[in-house]
Amino acid sequence: MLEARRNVFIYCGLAALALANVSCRKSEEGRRTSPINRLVISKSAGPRTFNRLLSADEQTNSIGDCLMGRLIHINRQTQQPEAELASSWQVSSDGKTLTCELRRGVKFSDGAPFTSDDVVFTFQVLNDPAVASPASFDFDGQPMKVEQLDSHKIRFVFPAPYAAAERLFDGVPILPKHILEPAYREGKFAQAWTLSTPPEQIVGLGPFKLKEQVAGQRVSLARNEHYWKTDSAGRRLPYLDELVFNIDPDRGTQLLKFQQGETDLLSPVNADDVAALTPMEHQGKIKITDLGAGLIREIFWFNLNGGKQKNGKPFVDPVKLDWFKDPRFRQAVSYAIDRDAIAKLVFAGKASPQYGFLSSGDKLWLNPDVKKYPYDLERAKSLLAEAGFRSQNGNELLDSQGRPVNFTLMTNAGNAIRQKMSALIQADLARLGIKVNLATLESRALLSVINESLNYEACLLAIVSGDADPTSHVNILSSGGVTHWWRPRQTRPGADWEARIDDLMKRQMRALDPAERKKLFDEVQAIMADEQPFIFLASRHLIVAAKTDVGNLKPALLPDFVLWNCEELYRK
Amino acid sequence: MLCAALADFLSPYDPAEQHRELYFAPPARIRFPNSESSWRPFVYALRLEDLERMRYVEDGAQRYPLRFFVRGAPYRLFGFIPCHTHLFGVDAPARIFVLGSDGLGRDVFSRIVHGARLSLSIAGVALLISIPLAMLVGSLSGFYGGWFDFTCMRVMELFLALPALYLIIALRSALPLGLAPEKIFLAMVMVIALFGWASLARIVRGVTLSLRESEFVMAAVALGASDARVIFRHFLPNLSGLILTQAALAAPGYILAEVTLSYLGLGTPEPLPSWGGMLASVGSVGRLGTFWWNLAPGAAIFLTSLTFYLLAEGLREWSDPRSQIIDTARQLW
Repeated sequence: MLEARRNVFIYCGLAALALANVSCRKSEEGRRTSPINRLVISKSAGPRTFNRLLSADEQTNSIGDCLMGRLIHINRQTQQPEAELASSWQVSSDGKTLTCELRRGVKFSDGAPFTSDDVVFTFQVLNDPAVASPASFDFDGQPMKVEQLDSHKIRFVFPAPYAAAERLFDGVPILPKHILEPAYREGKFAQAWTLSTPPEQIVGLGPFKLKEQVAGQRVSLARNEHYWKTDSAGRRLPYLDELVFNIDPDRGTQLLKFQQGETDLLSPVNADDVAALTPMEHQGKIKITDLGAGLIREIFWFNLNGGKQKNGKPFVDPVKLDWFKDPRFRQAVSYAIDRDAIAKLVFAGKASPQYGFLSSGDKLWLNPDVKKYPYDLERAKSLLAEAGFRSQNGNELLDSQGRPVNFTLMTNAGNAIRQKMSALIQADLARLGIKVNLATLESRALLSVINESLNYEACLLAIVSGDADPTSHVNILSSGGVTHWWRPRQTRPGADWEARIDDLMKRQMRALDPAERKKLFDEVQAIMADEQPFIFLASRHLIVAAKTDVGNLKPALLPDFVLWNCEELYRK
Repeated sequence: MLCAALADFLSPYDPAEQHRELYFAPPARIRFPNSESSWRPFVYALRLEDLERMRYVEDGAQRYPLRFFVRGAPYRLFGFIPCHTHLFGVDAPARIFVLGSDGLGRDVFSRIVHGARLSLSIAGVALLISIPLAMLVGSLSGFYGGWFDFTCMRVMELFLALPALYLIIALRSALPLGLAPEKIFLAMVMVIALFGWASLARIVRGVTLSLRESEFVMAAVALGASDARVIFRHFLPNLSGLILTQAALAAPGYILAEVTLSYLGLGTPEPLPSWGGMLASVGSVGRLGTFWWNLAPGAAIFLTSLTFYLLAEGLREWSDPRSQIIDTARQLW
């Protein structure tokens, strides 16, 4: 199977190189008119650190990924792993070891050679609990072992077979041992590459190196002339001389700057802003790309926690908990929600209705045959009747004991999209006779309620996948996971179907045959759709806009949506 | 005020009703017929033509005349008279959105009128709480002075020095989640009044201090009048004009406080319309340019504030004994 994947890579790689070849000539022309080949993009927040190994947020990651190289990276467009600093890799037949052949003649941005020493050092730091890297990973508590075979060959040994282990390497930047080892030995690794470090001390294997950073304003990257990749004409990448990140926390400012031509890319574009940008597209100044359903899924769920708070009160009123726990109640609610209206009114039509766990953008793993819940009030009413609910005067739903059905749905304040969705849900459920109270909470307060205090009834939020692989969802799906929001951090599964999901997730993690993994994960998706612990609403489309003279742009659903191939981008 | 009280009657639609086919519809173009036969203005039905650019076109096939005193969504006039007559409307399927519709297809005009009720009543109730409190504390501390005055002043300064907005947000998030809208309303009133009384009380105290030294008060005290008599017979009547003016000046501030809270999503929840919540829904540059009619609540806030300031001006003129207008009025009398 790996062989087959490699073929795909080669094919895609050739296509990319062919494009690059064309671009090469064009960018020469561009050089004559503008002395510097520069690309400017807005970021909603500046980097928190230049140490990619310590970065935990998306903004810091996307800047760090331009500076650093990885052994294996995931092609965002094909969603498949590709060789980067490792010229090739081999997974053993028992799935427990992964052997990497390192690329020869590669140099860091300061000219120092890259060898397996750097890789060993990187993984030593990564596995060090004192460093507490957000990128670290283990296998049921056991770290993997790193064996240095020679100066350009390295072997990783996992405690247990681990499917798609090569994908994990996408998140691990290879650090320069000659620069960072002294700091690490002194226990000052965290202070080594901060925002105040002089730019020339930040050394990496990525296509760019840090040129300048002005706190709160911008980060400028310059071309790394030692970058290893070349195009088919033998010219060293990257094509761009400069990559500038403007820090614009406000989305409105980002839009205005893009409209005025101050920035070259806008990613992602809010669905509401598309209408403001289409005139520019008609003038031929920009190109808007709608990539279809992205990996963010809007959801809402009922709190199914049966326990008690510290003061002895239950998390959820036991009467309501009984309603919420009945799958027929959740299914009825799901049928009563007009998802087409959500897609149209909330996302200006730039969203797809969502019924199951994966969005259709997760094309490699999606199970298209899960149960769907199209808007159907009659089905909803009959399910409720079956579960013992009845309606009074045609406008109030009562449970089997004659108590009116109502609940409070909370979401984060200041988010117009979620507020609109909750208003729609409120109106939709009113048709079933369910009274929904809406509450908005400041984001941090909301997270502390759903993660710690757990005293709420229902919550509207979104989940996003970090990678297009089943194992990346384990925190949401397995009953012990922290983002298993409907009933988080369980010591043992609270329901049979949760136990089944736990088992399936464990098995797909061990299975090495992708077809078998797909089968196991299909069943997980089917259970999620049947049980509706999350009531899925919609997945917004990923839309990016770029000036028409940005070449080689290959927007993709995985972050960073537009800069993942920053070494190939150029200005026409 | 009248507008707020008659909100249900004035608004053609239920403010929570979602016309999902007509979201972000532009303000209705009311047309006047050329022919002699009919004088009635009319509108055309709208149809969404261009989803990409959110452009609506009028369906010119049929005219929907504007009608007055039509039957519509049921409501209770003044909260108790069951009623279903609305001032104006058009026949379905056409809709008359005088100020357009919002992102969920709700009538902006109906929501502004209903929002006025909410904003004005919050400001009104908050004033009813903060003014007596300010008068009591202000006049007592001005009259007695000494340690009582000192303590009261420090407490007021504490309230004046606190960053009100942050505290309001903190207070709001400290309240339980599942509050009914009425309780949230009460909580907002309390919070706004709590932060509004201090500055009023300072003004009252200042005036009381100067009144205390005036000849007629000294005469009253010399004649053996009790403290209560001095306060109620001499201070408060002299303060009444000032209080009214200050109340009129404070009202826009209270309305703005309510708008701010709702804008931040901490006010009364959906589906109750509030001006701040309506403005928040167009709080992005892209939408501002395209769906400008959703800014109408801003105009409503401006007009209301202006009204209150003009009212304050008038009250000041009326209460000032040296004012020209009053003199002329007295002469005429």
